[in-house]
Amino acid sequence: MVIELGSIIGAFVSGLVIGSIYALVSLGLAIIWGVMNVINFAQADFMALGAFIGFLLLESLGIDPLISLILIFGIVFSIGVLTQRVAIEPILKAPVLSQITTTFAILLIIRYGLEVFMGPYTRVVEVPYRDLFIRFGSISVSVPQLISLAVSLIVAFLLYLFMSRTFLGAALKATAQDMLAAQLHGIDIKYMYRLAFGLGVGISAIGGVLLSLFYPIYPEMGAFFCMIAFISVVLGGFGSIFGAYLGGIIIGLVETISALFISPSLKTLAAFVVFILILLFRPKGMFGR
Amino acid sequence: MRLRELILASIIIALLLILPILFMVLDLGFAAAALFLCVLYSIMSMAWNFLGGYAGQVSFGHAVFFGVGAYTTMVLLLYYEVTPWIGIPIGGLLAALTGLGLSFLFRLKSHWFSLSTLATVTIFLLLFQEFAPGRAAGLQVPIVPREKEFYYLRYAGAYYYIYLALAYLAVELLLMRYLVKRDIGYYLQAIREDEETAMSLGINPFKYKVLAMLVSSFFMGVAGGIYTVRFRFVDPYCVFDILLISIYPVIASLLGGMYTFWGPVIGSFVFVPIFEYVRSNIVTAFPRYYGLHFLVAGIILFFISLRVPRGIVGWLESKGYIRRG
Amino acid sequence: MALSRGALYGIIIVVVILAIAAAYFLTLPPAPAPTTPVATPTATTPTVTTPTVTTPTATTPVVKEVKIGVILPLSGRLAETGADLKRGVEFAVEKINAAGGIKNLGGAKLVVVWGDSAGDPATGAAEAERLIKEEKVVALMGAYQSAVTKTASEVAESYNVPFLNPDSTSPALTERGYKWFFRTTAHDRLFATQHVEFINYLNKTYGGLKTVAIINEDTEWGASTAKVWKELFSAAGYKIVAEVSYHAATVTSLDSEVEKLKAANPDVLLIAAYTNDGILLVRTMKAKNFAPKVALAQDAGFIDPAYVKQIGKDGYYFFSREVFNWDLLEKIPELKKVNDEYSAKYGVSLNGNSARDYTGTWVLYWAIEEAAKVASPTDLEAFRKAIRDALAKMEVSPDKIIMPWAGIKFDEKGQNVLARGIIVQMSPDDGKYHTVYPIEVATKPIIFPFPSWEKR
Repeated sequence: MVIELGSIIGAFVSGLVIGSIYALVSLGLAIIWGVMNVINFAQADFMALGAFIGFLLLESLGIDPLISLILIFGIVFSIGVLTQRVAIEPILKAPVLSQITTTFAILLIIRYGLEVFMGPYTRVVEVPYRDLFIRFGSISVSVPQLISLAVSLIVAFLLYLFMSRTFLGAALKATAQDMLAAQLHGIDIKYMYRLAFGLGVGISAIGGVLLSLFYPIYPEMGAFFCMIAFISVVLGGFGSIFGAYLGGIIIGLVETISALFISPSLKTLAAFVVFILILLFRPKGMFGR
Repeated sequence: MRLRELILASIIIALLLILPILFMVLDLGFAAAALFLCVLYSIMSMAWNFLGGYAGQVSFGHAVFFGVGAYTTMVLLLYYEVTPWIGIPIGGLLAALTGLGLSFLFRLKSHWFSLSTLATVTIFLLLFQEFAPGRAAGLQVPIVPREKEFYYLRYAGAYYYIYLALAYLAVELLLMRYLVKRDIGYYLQAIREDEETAMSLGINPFKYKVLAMLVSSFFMGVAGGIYTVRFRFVDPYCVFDILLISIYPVIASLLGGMYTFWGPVIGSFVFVPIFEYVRSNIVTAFPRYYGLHFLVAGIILFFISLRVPRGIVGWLESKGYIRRG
Repeated sequence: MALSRGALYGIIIVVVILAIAAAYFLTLPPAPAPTTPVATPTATTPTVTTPTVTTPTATTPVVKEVKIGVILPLSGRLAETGADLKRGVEFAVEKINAAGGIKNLGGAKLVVVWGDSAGDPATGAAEAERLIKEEKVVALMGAYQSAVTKTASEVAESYNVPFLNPDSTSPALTERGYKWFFRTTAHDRLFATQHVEFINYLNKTYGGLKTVAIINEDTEWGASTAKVWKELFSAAGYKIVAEVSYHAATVTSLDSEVEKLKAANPDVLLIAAYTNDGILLVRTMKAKNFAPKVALAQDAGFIDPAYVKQIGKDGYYFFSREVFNWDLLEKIPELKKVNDEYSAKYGVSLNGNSARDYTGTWVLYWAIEEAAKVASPTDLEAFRKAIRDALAKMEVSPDKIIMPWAGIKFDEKGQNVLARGIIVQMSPDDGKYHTVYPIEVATKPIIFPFPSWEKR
């Protein structure tokens, strides 16, 4: 069976698009991990949270999720800060086990809180441009997918500007690199932690909103994206935030290309195999410290 | 002292032996099903805790061993007509072998280890979904004539299976008690507290971690086999389930007290009824609120993690009601 | 054996907990049975009329209601389909009770106790156990998804409880040698044979169909459908060029799957999908511009009213195997009457799913009436056996049912051998499915080939 060029390009574009979503979730995870040294197991569920908030805003107020994107970011950012204060701060000095189980508890609470609140049903965000697409030759790309790719890149770029050009961003970086030294320079660590967590989950929520534009959403969707986010961060390398972003894109591509050449049912497996290989042979990832 | 202890031990054992029959006579199917799950999860929690609580290696991948045990028992039964009486221990052995195979993950420390174990469950899920007998549709034990019921361990209801699980729990408890009381228990705890210091004292961390893994995965596999005969249906999604198989025992162990010996058992006997009650009575009556049982589990886990990290038994110990045994 | 103090107290705690647990378990009420308001009319409980109908046993205590358990996916991703199926059952029960209930038991009401499988085989089995042991139903019905039916009916078989399956089509279900399992709908092997016939017919009439691709959901139903398709189509001389499966419960994208199918360039696409994945598939096919000459689905998702509503124009020209279609109203007068009442009450017409469950409820009711002649629900075991025997002997003529079948008669495997299927196609004229095959019962001509997406 000969695989047409069209199919390959189609898979490439699909991979890029879904990868850009993975990238956002991973980005958030990397920020939290880098600054606080906490693995947020609930990361993907904040993504789902964002998607559902967007859905609710659309259903009740008729606002397109793209327009309410900033608002959704703000809401989830605040929830993140709250979570950080209530749940994470107390256990920062505790053994790692407590961190793991606490973030896991948050995962359960968000995911199933969402399910109990919204019902276990699959929802579709019906935006008018959902079924539009652009065609060149035998390749077609859906409009919402292109939009989400663009927005994802924009968000990454904005974050880059934030980290490199603003004082807050620099403070964040400093905290990530050397907490003690940062403290000595007068940076309020608690404040940084809250910022990092809120930022991390907020970005993830943006990913969720974008995703909802072209995928059906359901409360348990975090289960799938959770591991992918970790894989991307590990691929990118611990300590490198944009490495995580790139890692997400790569994983997306790995999935769709392997789906085409091997088998669609095994595409996720390919990503996991990559994960184990990295952990064993190059735990630093691509750009890790 | 000895006499009192013996009497108490006898009472518990007597209770455990009588309850299933009582339930059967009174036709209390739900109670029996819940008791069965309490015992099964006790096996799983004790198994997990041996690696997680004693050795300090928090694994989220125990569903792998459970699934291997479950599938082994099922395949041996369906394709080779091997009775589960033999099949379950073999399932445990294969699970232990899998554990041995996965020991390379011990190279990783703390949360990296936990993360990678989480990944292994999904990997096994996908592999079994594609390549295992029955693939995604799963395998089912057929109906067998009356005479073969004992050979196939095929009974209606949970009653007989409670005894089967109790037997394995007893074996597990005795074995672990023995190991813990010997040097091994101390070595594992030393490794958990500070691996480097332990090494400088001449303890080989890898060797003991592997040992803990072998015991832990064996009993997890056995639990999988017991699951197979009780429910008579396996598919990759049931047995390689992260929340219900991998995480559940963690919650139970934490609730009971993961740094204690009896913690996991007590935690299971407290957590399982709560979870089952919510699932069976509330969620079933109101399907719109599906997911409530997991939400409750999350809240419980949350409070344990933040407020009572030493669990029920640990709390009792700290208050002086019981002394560290 | 010397126990340390810690162990001693540990034991005390365990004893206390066990005692509490025992007391707790013993006093647990069974799960509240959410009986539908339709089944038991609120005001009037049937007055105790002395039964004048045949009751050979002397003085049996009067029975006011007979409980059957119905297991459906009431929550989860198939919840909408579950609601649809539930309507079919409810409606039948309403009519049965309105017509006098179970006459051989003095007008006892038929009551449904619902079980929610949540779309999961293990949950379905647990529900079956609950319904049998706690609710003490006389029979079970369910469960739509073949995977759930598989486990739930296994529980029923273990407890010697009759299980009526109106809507699962995996052939394996009747190959297990069960004695208490009865299926009214035809199964996939039968349907697949019809599919081959249909494609052969298209080939003869229009030509050019040589290659076949299959896409299926991967649980019991989809997997066995795919297996049978592969076997029968290969035997008929077609080349299977691609076979793709996915997991319906967790799938969010079928991009890769459709790319793979597109790359194989089949003439015919065979689809076995549930509702949400069906919608996803069609939309992805459109997005990727994949249009095989023939797209033939296997019922389930594709005939679900929720699918029809959401898919709109994109669903045009798709064929599906069906068991029933609304345009049969013209052919079956009894059906028109029932459908008018049904659509007046619920706002939607009957479809293959609700109609099958409606029919299944009636079949179970007839069996209960027969059973009531020789046994009473007060002796649960005997009554269940009587129902089972009644089902095994049952012979129903086609005019009594609303399905386009030759009637109801179960073979020794529990399969209704008089069931049949039809092929429908969604017409661009009105967005509804019309019967197109067999030609004798067709109400519209076949539209061939499947036009490319741009030309619509």
